[in-house]
Amino acid sequence: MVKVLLWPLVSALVLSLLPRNKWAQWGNFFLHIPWIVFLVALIKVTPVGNAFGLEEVYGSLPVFKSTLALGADSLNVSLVALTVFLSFSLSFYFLNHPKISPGFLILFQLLNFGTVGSLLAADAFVFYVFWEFMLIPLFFLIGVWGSENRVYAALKFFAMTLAGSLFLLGGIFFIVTRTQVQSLEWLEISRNSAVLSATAPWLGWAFLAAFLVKIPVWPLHTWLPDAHTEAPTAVSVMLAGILLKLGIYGMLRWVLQLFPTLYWNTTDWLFAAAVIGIILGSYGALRQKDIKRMIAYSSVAHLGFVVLGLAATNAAAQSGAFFQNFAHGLSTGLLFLCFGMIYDRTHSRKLDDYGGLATSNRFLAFAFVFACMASVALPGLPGFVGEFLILSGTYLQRGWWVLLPLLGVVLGALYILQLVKTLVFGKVSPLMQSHSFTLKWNEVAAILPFLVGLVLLGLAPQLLLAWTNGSIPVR
Amino acid sequence: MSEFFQSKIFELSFNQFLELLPFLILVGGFGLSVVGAALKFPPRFFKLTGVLLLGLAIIAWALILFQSDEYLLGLHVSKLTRVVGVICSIFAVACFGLFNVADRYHKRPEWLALLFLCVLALSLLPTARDWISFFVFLEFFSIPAYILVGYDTDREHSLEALLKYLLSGTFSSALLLMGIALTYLNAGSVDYLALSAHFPNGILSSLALLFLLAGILFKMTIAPFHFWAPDVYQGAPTGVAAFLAAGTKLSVFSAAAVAFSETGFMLHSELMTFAVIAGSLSIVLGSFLAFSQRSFRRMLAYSGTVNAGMLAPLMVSGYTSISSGVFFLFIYGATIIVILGPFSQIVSQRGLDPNGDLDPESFNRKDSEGASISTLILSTALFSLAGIPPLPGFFAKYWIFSDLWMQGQRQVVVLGLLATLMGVAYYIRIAGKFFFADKREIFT
Repeated sequence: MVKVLLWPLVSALVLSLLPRNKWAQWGNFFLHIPWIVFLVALIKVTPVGNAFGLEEVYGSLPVFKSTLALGADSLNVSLVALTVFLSFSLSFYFLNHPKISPGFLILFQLLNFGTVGSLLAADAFVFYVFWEFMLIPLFFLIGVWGSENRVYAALKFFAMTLAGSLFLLGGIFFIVTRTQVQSLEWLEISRNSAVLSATAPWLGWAFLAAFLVKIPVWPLHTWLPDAHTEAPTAVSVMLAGILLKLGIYGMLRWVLQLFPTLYWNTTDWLFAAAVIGIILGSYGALRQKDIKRMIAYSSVAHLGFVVLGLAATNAAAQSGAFFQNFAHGLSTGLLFLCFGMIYDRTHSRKLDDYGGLATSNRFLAFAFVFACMASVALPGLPGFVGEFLILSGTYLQRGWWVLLPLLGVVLGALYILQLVKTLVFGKVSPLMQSHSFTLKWNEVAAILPFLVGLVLLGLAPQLLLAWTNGSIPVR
Repeated sequence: MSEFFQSKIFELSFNQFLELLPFLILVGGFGLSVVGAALKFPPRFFKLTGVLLLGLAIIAWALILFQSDEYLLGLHVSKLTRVVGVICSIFAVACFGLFNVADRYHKRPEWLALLFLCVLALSLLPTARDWISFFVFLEFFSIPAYILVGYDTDREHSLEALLKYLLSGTFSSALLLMGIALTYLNAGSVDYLALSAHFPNGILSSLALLFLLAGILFKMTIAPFHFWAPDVYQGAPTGVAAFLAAGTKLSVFSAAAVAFSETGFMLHSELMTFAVIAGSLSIVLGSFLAFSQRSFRRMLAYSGTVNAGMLAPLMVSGYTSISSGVFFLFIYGATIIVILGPFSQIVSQRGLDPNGDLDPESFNRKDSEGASISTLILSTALFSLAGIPPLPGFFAKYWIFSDLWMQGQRQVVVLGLLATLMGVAYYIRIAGKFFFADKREIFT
């Protein structure tokens, strides 16, 4: 387990020795291969479940009551696998890209380190350290390599997520100083969860706050459109693909499992926030003239669906939520990647500048439409499975209230189809005419894994559902 | 002659001699550098003397670090005082090493003698066993510090800083002295041990505590006695400002914590009330003032007020939380030195006076410059100061917050967390400026 965690750090160190862009890009590519091997080895020994079936302890920090513990079960290892998958696909995209410097790749690997660390952490303190550590590389990735408004976006993102995390820190202080809990190890906290909920009913809220910002749930979502829009392509992919997932993961692992009573009491609020998020997110996307911003708002809506599933108390909605969470990483990741390749050539994000991609490059147009269809949950693609489970689960619990999020599905189809109509079909716009849209081999190679993954999950959802079935705690 | 060796002062056991050795080394260093300055030795001599003797003092302390407490010659040496001595010496070496003081002031090499005096006084301060020694050691530190602050005699800012530091410092000494006088009036003694046995409650005791605390808060730059810090940090030579920020706070904090706990003053609840009010005030005031600064060094000074404010309640709660406070101040001081070192380097690379100040706006990366090592170090240190894990600043802050929470100072913790959030705005904003070229498309 520790190999999977530390390999990105080792990669970052190795990359710092490769001074030229080209060397670092290829180095980054090859450094992924051992990582995949370690991951496969980890998947083989990972038990199905949600309670850190496999735990390794590497020492303790008595001052902080912390145990240096890492844990693995299907809940987090599936997301680690998603991280590795996205990072590996992107390593193709990085090859021959003129703007990808060693510094970028080092920060990117540090981001992977933070992500994997917070997924595998089995101790609240360790988790917090990794959780916050992610912000540093992201701040620089957005701030240095982003587009015009990047400084504002980076600061806003940093400040809002940190504000959420400070509540988590407060909760950790409370556990350390005011309770009899011996250590911050996840197992220890969960053993004492009944006592903790009794002494401090608000404790779960403190934990929840950090994750609600990260997911992000309406009305805490305002950092996302800015960060998504200003971030470089690869970082947008990672943001949509894995960082938002971490919020959902945190909710499942550190709130739902530790403070179940509080969690079940908040589901009505979560439902309301999710519905507002879905509708406002979709409406926001409909109104955008900026394509990346449009995709960002669609993310808000999709994550609304995930939260909707988590807010229902039956197994269908819960596992649907986790599935949708996973699927969104692939579909929105692919959307950002495809648009990133277009943007690399035209340097414009305005919807009005585009038209006729299908004439310019068939493959790219196909991939883009494919991603859009995955995003509107066409049957046969994983989004459909996720949304179907979520909506049926919601119907079971809340009856006709389900019509509200369904409205969001319709709105979603509207903006996505509008995007497809303008960008892919119609006459070739002057801006697109003036650029060559021939894809390099590595760009095709970066898109292919996403296509394969989406088809695979769409046609055989049980691959993931069966694996993570036991990992979603149900009331 | 033999009678002389048998006289009182030489009746020291070997262990006691070892305890005194680091102080003697510092005194020796002072003597050597005075001689060197008088004979106009080259800068190399001062570099060597400084590193060698401060290094020797560090080693001498490190060898006896874990020995038990010892009372000798009116001093109370303990693990704490040795740690303070080691850290102050490290700070001193770092300060004159990083800021290239030896070459800069090669015509006036007296700075080394003054530095030795500063370190000596700071390491003696926590060993005080009565308020008079406390006062004397503090003044003993202040005098060379005044001179060092005004060492750039050709810069108006430095002289202004000297004057402000001198006047406000004198005022703070008067407050402290008043506190000591009231203490004596109340209990008939200034000895820690005697005070712990007899210190009647009443209006007199409250007043005494208020004045004593005021004098100490002054040196810690805690509100409402923080007003001198920005001017001094801005005007003093960079190395001196770094040493003042790092060393003084550490030594005064430990000395005050020892004093309040040995005298039993920490049992008087009004002391904690004063400290909490002052601490909360500095956190709030410091945060807003740091946020609105245009000058980098003024910003650092106000952020120092915020950080010290978090320590105020720990300072008056005695030995229980002294280790977290000392650890925090060590990390804080090291970070400040690490920040100001590359800072002065960057400034001088831009062809400006490394002791001068800089508007953060001019930090914006120029198109021609890449991200250099010094900007990398600087921004890492700023992240650490903001308390972002896994940098050491986070662990230090976490520790004092959990100590504060354990003592029931929850409002201070909440304020501290909010201040951390504001800190992101003013620290990280600057860290960003080094890397984020303005209005230029770099990527995608």
